[in-house]
Amino acid sequence: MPRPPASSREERTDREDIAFLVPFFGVVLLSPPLLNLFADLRLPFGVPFETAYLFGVWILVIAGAILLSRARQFREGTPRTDAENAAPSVAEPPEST
Amino acid sequence: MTDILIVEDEQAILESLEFILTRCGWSVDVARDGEAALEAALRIRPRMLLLDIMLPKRGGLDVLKTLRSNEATASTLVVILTARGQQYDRQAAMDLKADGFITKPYANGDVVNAVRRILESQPSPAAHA
Amino acid sequence: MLSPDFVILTAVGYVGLLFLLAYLSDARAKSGNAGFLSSPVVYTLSISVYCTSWTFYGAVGTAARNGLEFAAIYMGPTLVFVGWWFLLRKLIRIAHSQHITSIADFLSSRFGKSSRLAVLVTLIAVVSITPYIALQLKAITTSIQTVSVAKGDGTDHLATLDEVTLALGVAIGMAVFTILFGTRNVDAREQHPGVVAAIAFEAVVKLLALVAVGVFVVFGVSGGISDIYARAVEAGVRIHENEPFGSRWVAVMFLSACAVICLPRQFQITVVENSNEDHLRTAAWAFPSYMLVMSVFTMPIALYGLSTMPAGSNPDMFVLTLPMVTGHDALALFVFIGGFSSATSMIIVASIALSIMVSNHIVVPLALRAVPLGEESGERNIARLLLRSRRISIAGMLLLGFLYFWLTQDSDALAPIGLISFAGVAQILPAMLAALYWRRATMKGALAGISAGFIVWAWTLFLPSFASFSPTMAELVADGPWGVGVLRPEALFGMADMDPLVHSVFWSVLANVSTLLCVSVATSQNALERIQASLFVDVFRRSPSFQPRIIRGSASTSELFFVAERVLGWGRARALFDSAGVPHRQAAPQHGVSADFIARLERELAGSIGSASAHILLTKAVAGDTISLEEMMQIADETQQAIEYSHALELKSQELHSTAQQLKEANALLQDLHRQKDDFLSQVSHELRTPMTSIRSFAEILMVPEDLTLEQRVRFIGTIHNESVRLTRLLDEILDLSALEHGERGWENVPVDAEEVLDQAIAVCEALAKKRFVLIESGTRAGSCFVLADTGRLSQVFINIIANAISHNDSEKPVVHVVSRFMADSYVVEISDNGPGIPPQYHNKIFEKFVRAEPDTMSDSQGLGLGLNISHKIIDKLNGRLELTRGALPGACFRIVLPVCQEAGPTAIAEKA
Repeated sequence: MPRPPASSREERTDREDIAFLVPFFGVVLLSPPLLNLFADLRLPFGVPFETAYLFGVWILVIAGAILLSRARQFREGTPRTDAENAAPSVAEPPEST
Repeated sequence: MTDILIVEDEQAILESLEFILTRCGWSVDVARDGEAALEAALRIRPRMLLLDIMLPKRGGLDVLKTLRSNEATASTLVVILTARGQQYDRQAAMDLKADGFITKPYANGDVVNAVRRILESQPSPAAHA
Repeated sequence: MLSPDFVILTAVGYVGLLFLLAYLSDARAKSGNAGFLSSPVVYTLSISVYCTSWTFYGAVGTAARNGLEFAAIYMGPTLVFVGWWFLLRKLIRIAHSQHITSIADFLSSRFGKSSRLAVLVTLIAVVSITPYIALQLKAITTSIQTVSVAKGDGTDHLATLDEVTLALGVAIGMAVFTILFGTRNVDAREQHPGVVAAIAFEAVVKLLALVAVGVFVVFGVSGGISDIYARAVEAGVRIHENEPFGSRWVAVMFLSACAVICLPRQFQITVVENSNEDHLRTAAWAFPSYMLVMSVFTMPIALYGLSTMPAGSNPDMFVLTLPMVTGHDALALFVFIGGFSSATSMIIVASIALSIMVSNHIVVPLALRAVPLGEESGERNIARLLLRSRRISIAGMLLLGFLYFWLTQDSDALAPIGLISFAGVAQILPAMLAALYWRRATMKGALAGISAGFIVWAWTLFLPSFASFSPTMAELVADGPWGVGVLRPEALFGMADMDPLVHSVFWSVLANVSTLLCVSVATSQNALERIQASLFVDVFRRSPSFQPRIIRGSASTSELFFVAERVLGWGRARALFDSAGVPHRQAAPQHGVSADFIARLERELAGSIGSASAHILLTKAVAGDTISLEEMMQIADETQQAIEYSHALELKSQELHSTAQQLKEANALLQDLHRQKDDFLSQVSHELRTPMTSIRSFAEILMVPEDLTLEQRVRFIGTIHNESVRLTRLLDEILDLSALEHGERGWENVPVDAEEVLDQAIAVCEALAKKRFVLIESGTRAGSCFVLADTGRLSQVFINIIANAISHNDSEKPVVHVVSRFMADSYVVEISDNGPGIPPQYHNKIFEKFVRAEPDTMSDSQGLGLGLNISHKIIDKLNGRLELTRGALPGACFRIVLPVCQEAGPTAIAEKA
């Protein structure tokens, strides 16, 4: 038996949670305390460590966004309107015998 | 004259009924299917038919209907015997003006009593003669 | 060396190319063949209007002065775009459903279509963007001066132009171009495909130019990135950060995140010009990638410039001067065109966006107030008024930009000007977030918050930017107004040891947010605000078609058409009325109009003149029946409730419907099963009663033995015994059937020789056949044949069918004929007789329970009518078929088909042997 409300509700929660990860880690990794951890005198690849770190985080965040944009959940054919206000789940109907 | 025509396709039941009723003093004849029953009813004019419902060739209720529609046999007493005993069988029998209804299996005494009561409820044609 | 004439003519030629591109794209879009123009790629490229000449030239300057801080300008937008799912998606969805034309329109519409708010936001935008436009003018003039060197022999006519004249010329040129392309018509959705195409093209040019100079510097004149760092260290340039990352980093990142949302040109391109919400999914990663590529070479170019250029060189112009000092004039010219691209694209889009805001939110409302509606006058054709006011606004914006440039021409770096702008438009962000997520936010709160933030920004950041050339300002900054130290612009309340930018952002955002919160809580929304709030905050919870009908009344169609025609033009107004089936000719002047249509008309008008103006216009046109406040409140509440419950109800009723359907089906099935079970029980009881009757009857007779002869007694007891046996057999059959019906077969299938089983079955039936004088003939036989079966069960089937054939045969010379053969991979047995056969009406149900085709007089046919049913089930479980067919003899013919056991293993054969 198809149960669109329950499944789309779950999917929505999943989707919001996943979509939140990329900007969240972006903000965290680019915060001054973390950046300053790398602001020392080392020169990996011949560039200052903080520069390498900054561009590394940038690339990671973009990669995350690419993955997200390709994920099935984020493709919406037509604007969905039911997904976000699915009814409070009513009692499940009995499984048909 | 024959008092009772037993119509029954089960040999063992037929034999037992014949024995019981003969022993009580009635004259008895037998038929083994619906067509034979109708033919015998017209030929020997029994006072009563003990009629099974599940019969080869013609069912008991069909036989009863035919009897009732024929003037010559319309007043013949008919007692229905059945192993099914559902309400709708009984109702169908009553609608066709059956005089009695006995469900198998029965006690021999019940059959004898029913036959006697019904035969006595109607004056013997012989008495008029 | 390039001559100024050549450089300026190249720039003019480039603008001509843009013009052509825009013209062709417009024509293509108009013919309905947008194709590539409406692709996510073009959308993403056009968003990169974010990267202006400030980025193009200034980023290197910033890198040279402040190290990695330049990257913060890109980090904010990157984070906003990778979080597109939460903010940008909602913005675009709302803008599409509400026909939003600008950021001012967005806030105005959300807060009850307030004109005051729209005017405030427009003013803030104008004030904030003016320095930004000035910045572009400055970048263009500086770059022209840098890239060209007058020969001084009088052959260069344009060389005599000074910086100010040059800037004026650029401003005029840009104004003409923008007017020609941005305001050709008042479009339904304020979308300008031609302009967007030109911007996207410029995005490619500036990226290529910057990458070209980057590759030139890194791989052309140096030996790769690490070589540049090594050289920088040798030259004594500091390659590590001067100061640890701190509040300034955070502030710049925050401002750039605000800017990419709230800058009018970004809102215009990202939200208003968006043709498909799905494009955002691509832009989410493609735009950050674009910025990444733009900035990969920034640091190396800055370091190389610092290491090699003479001290005192302007680092903002390194991208131009580095190719020039090595004599690569062509590259320098390309870079100049790249910078020119980034400046012109910003100017074009920003002035279009601002002109829409100015005309929709300031000019049109003023015009509507000033002139009563309903008088025929050529002057008041609103569509024309709109176009004219937009053109004037564009010219005005560029003029303002030029004036700012003129006033601040002696100021030093590019970057501070850009950040001043960013901090100004950032004042819109708190209200914007409240508009999207906080239902309770009120118009008064938004107005007060934005005003407070803006005033603090102007005091702490904007005014001090004039300090370098205005002694009054310098004094103010140093001592505070009237010598009040706590109000010093760059040290409010004594907060002195702080970067001025961070200081300003801190105080302005603090004032903004706290005012917004407090005033919102302290004031209440009017009805229209409540409705709009729920439309915005709950945009994903509502069906797209839902629009509350706020204006209600009895306007006549002619009045409405008059209004629509003034704004939309005759053609579009007529199309709108026709599509809604509303007559608009003079013939039907008093035709009533539905509230739905008025709501739709309002949206269409809002798409051209903004929601506040559209609302004013229509409330004026729809005479009399303005809805009462209480009614509006009620509508607002009902709307809210309807939104919340309608979907829940819809889903519930769908579920209930499908549940009911399933229950119905299940019930029908149960009833059917129930009826079958009743029939079965009724049949069983009938079949059991029959032998019971004889047994009981004879037993009673025997209870009085005196009357009976010995012979009779023996006979009666024999009958009782026979009937008991029959009863037992019936019970066995019923149990057998029940077992077969309840699923698994209760036996193991092994390879057995079916022919052998058939022979045994024939032998068993011989006795019965003899008794009935029936001849069993064996015809052609298959010989030995192995099938997967259980010997007992298979034998049961054969015996049942042969016995049936014997006992139902009443012909003169009764014969039962048995043949077997192979057919493909099957073993086939046919058992036929010359009896009466199966009457046609039984053919379909001969294998059902209790079906007896001929309950005739033959007393031996005492079967319950279950035999064939059981046989059928057994053969089924042997994966074979039992069917009634037409045989050689006139009577019935049953055919048994069984799959031959392929691996009739030698072991099985050996066992048999």
